[in-house]
Amino acid sequence: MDLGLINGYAAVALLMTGLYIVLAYDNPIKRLIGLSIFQAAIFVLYISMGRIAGGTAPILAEGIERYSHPLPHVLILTAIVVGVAMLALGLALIVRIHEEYGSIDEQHILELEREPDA
Amino acid sequence: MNSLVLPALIPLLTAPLIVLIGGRHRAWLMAFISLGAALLSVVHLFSLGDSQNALGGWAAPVGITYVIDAANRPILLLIMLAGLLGLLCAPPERLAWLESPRPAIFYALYCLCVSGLAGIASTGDAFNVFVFLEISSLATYALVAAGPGRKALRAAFQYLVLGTLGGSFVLLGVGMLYMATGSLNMADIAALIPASPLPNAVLVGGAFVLLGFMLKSALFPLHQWLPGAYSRSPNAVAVLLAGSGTKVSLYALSRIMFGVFGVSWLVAHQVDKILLILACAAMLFGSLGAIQQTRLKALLAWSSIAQIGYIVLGISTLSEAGLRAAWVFMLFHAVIKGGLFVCASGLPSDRLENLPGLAQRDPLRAACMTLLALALLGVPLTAGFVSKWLMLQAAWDSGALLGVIVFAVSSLLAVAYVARIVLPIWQHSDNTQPIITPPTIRLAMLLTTAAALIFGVWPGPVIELCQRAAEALL
Repeated sequence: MDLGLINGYAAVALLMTGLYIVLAYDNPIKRLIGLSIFQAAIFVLYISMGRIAGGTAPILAEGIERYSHPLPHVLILTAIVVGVAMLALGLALIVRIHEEYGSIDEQHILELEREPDA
Repeated sequence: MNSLVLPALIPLLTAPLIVLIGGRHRAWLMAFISLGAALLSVVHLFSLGDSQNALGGWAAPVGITYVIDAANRPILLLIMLAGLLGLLCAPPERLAWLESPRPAIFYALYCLCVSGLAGIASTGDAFNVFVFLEISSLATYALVAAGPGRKALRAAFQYLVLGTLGGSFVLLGVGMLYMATGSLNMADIAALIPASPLPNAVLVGGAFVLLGFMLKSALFPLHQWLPGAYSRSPNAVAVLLAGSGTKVSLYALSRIMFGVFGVSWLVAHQVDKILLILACAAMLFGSLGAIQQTRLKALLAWSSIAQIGYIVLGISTLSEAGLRAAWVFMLFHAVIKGGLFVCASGLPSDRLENLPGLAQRDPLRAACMTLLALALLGVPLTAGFVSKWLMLQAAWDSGALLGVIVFAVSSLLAVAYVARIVLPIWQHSDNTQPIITPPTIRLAMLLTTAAALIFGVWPGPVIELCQRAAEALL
């Protein structure tokens, strides 16, 4: 196995783990955890692609010719902020669901939902 | 040249102002003025012609560009009109269940959502698309959660999970395209793809971006979030989403398909066939789903899933006639479905079994609803007929026989669900208590119905507009 692509393999493993958790679990908090893992995998992928063999931190200095690529890191900062906002909104929704139903358990909520609505 | 960013910028900047100023009525008025100003800036773009703007003076491909051409001008116009139409359905007194200061926040989120949609439609930068997609999506999740009743919260959470997956797929795909080409500018990526050293990364990246936008535009079988989001949200949000939300994602899908990959790449990787099959499934299962619903807004939402199938059928032909039909369909369907959601707002009950007697209780609403439902069906002399006719012609000319057959079957099924709306309205009922409709909603009903009828008789200018959009895309 080419060790140079190990970040890529790690990202794929995390991606699949996250997606599985989102799709396989009923518990909304676990689904949010899955979404976060899924997004973290994409962050890893972006950050890894900025790495240039033999490159150093992208700060201009005397005698250095190779720098890592800073753009993917900047891009992913934006995506991390988006991820935090999504997580905060998701957790806020779960708090509201708990206030309204007294439970976040999907089975319990489905039983409550049996009653007809307007 | 900086006027290119105005449609996205004006609502974005007014959103925090609305929260600061507060107050139900002032917030509504401010949101209305903001979207009105944004509409004027779009009208200005029509007079400007095709143009590009390098933000901050950084020229492409390094900087972020905003591209305005014949393809996205109609979409921007659609976003602003749908936004204003939605606001007409949400005068402050209609949001009675939201206690202060939530109404002001509601209108601020509404402006943020419109800003995000306008941003997706006007940017020429692939990463910028992702950022605006998330701005509009995050605002939409919160707006859906503001709906009456606790089921809105669960619909919003469901939408948040699936919408975030869709957005993340777009991010992942854009990252892979960046790996393969080293550029984020759409036009630049398009130029670099043929010489890319990593054709597999282009393929996988393209698949992820297209998948992400399919999820966002609720193309079958990625539609699970749509019925809840449309039918549980406040009516204003349903009007905005039905009018422009999925349409903007479909625009982004076509922009990436034709602006980045090009027809020969799409044909080589059979994207047209995949889209054709998904479109057929959407037309069939959307209509079948609509027939089974017991609530009016859920029925309209399922019908939207079928209509998205019609639009994707046009896109899947990869032809000028198909794209023209898709654009006409998007514009007219926004008018018709937006109008129907307007008619559904302010009804005392959303259940279909409570529709009988509506003609006695609110004659204007009953008349508008009937005409719009017939337009949805595609009865001649309505806008729906024009868009369906163009679509059928385009599908026939491209030789997509499967698409034509499913189109016909789906239209027949549509008769069944439209009848479930139209027939009960005119039935007699003992309940003759009049429904009080606010004047703004009356105005919105009249405007959409008039538009659906006028464009049915006189569709020339819209078809002309969409013809130029199709030429610009291909």
